[in-house]
Amino acid sequence: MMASRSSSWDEAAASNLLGLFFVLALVALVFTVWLTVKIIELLVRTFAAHPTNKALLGTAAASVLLLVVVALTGGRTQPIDVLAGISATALIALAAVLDMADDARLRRPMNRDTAVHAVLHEWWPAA
Amino acid sequence: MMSTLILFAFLLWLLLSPLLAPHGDRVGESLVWFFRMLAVPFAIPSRAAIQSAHGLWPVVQAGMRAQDYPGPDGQRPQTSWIWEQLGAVLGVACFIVFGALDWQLLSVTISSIMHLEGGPLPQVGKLVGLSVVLAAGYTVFELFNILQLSPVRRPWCFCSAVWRRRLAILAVATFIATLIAGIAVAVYRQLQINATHQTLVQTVNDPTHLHLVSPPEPLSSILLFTFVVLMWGVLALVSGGSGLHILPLFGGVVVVLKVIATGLLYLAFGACYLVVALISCLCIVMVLGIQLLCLPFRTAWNWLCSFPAAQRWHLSPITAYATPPFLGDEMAQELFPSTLLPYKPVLQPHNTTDKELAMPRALRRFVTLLGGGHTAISGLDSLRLATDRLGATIEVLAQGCIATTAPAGRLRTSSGRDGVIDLTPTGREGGNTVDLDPDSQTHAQAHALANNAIQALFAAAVSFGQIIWCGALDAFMQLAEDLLEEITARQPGQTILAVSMIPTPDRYTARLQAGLQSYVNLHAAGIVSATLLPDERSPLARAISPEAQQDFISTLLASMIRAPRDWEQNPSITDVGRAMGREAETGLVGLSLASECVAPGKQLSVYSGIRRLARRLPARGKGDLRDIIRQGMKAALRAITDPACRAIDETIETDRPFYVVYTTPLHSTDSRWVGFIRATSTWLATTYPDAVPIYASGQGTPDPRVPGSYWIQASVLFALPAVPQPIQAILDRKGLAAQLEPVHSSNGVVADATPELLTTAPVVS
Repeated sequence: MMASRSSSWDEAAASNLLGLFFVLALVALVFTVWLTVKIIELLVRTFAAHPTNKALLGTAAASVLLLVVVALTGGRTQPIDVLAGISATALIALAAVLDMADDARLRRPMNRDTAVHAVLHEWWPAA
Repeated sequence: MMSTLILFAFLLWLLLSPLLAPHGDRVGESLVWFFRMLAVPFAIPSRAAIQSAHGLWPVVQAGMRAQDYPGPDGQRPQTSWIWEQLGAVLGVACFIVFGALDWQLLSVTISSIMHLEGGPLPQVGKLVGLSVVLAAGYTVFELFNILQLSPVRRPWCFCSAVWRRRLAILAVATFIATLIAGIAVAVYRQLQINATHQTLVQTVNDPTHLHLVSPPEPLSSILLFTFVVLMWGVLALVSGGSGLHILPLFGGVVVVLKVIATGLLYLAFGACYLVVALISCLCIVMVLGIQLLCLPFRTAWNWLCSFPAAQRWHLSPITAYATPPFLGDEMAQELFPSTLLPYKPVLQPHNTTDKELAMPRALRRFVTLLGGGHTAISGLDSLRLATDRLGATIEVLAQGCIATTAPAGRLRTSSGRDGVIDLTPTGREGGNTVDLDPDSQTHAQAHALANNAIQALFAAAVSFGQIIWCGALDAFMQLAEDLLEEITARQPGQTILAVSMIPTPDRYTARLQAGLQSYVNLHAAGIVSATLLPDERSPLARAISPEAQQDFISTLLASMIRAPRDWEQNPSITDVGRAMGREAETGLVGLSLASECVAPGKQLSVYSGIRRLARRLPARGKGDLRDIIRQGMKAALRAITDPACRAIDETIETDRPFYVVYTTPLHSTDSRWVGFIRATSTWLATTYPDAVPIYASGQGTPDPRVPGSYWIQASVLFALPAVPQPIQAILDRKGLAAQLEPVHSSNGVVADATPELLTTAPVVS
């Protein structure tokens, strides 16, 4: 008796929570895609601004090389995988530093409103 | 503190207890069912009461505030001790029950989605980790909701600062603990599966070795390796410590560190595995949801956007394309009025399709940069650099120039980049043939430049555009008159703003006076709306340098180009030019420019660390709004009142309308942008009621006398009298008359410019 009552509760609750789950999944998708776009945009912008920067070129070459090696090994060699991740992170970090140094405008403080606005409206800089 | 610890311990037990109860474990299952029987009937009415009637939460609030809030006078508020204690206890109890209930519901939901049996109890490793991480995430979500930090929903209550900090620590600790628990349980389940599999394999191969089942991977390798290495490390430490041998001691430390690093790496890999599993499951569910929702999604989204809450979250309805108000009132007119006759170009224009004609206004470029003379070319180059620096290139449609000294080849104009059309005539267009004399070649170039500009405007379907003409005073003026007249006649919707420069005294010739007269005539004829007239020997140029003054002017022009995009109420170049043209009798406009350094404020710690290694990197930070406002006011005040900031030595009449252009290092999407505008415009309206502010986002021109990382520039545009003092000085200059020679042009002899002639020029109404 108790089990059946609890089961009905569970079904009702599950149907109600399904909507919330969809919303969370959608938010996660939007954020992931936005983050990917922003990283690509950052790399493109930095390479366009610093096409001859040795550190940037070196890091990019190392990242590409390690990614190729990871692809060839099928991702089965953990040290190479870790090195590829580190080099990719270093490339993004270096691009972010250079981009920050280039931007002569003050950095925007991040809060809830600006984060929501950035994810929903700022997919590519308006120049 | 005690209640926080109790809450933390209970929540952790709550999250772990169902997971640690395997199937068939009647005690564990009984505990879970008992808890559900206790939680569900209590949680649902409580949550409904709090969320709908807010009947219970004020009590909780009062209790929380009474515990920590000292009050304005430093005294604790006079609240009954019952409510002080009961409120906190109720809050903690409600939170525990809510968290438990949410976890239960989440488990049920996952079980329903994955079609798993057994109700809320998770089945296998991936699902265990998934549910625990999701439960932790949802718990953190609810916590941050209470803390007013959730981007999705408004908070339920307002906690004091102490409780916020306490709950934030609790949230983070809970998340970390549940994440670790999830990893542990997932690994445990995986080990169980591997052990079962290995047992079966060995049973099949050799039924007599049932008890020789080795520990599953990675348990065997981790434990064995850890044990051996730890023992070896301890021995090395002991021997090294007793015998004072450096090498064994060092080796021991390295080994211990390696063990710790190995353990951390395994932990990190486990976390990554769980994150990947989480994302993959989310993606599967999400793709299904999107497939179901793709058709009615737009309608549903627009319906949701109509709610006030959606407007607070800046959610915009999905439309074909955005149509923001772009330029000033002039541009609010119809782009293709029926009265505008189609122009038949000389050269074959681009094929303008109906689709291009239907492009929204926001996608169009409206400003064309033209110039004549070598000084104009340097000005145009500086202006293009400024537009690039300030991100105003998107508004520049085309650029081109002509010069007498290089008629045979194509001039370097830095145009053609970023989609800017290069209008500079090629050698063939510029009459680069041996049978033409240099004057004829120059005329041909001017005609070709005008023709190219008209065709570019026609091809882009810009009926109402803006042209910035950079021209020298002492050269090309007759050609400029012909060129601008031709453009105005064939594209009547264009507004032309001229920028020139009074040269140094060693270049005072009769051509200079003729040039001045030409600009006055062009303004009188309504071709040029206004002429910005800085002086190469101005107080500002003497204080810094003519090149730095040129940079200031270029930044001002670039700011005016991009200003309508940054702030809807900014007047466009058309508005400024026409207003100044009405205000100044001869259309001459003076400039006063000042720049102030803005403190970078708090810097990103990572960037600061890198900057210590690379000293060349500039300081970068978020700044402080109060400092930005203060420096903005200071720059504006200096530009208005300080004679040393003037680009032409003429007094600013503050009782007549004038413009103040702020180039501020704030992004237009910065949350402080509106605050800056509000503060400075209020101050300006109070101090100088006739001043009209214009706000543009971008780096102001650095003052070469002061070091700094961020700059805010204030530029003042004010109407000059009919004959400004520097021009009067030129006209009164002794010895100049001896150099005066009639200048012949295609229209005949240009009369000498005299003060009478300048002042009697017709005024545009």
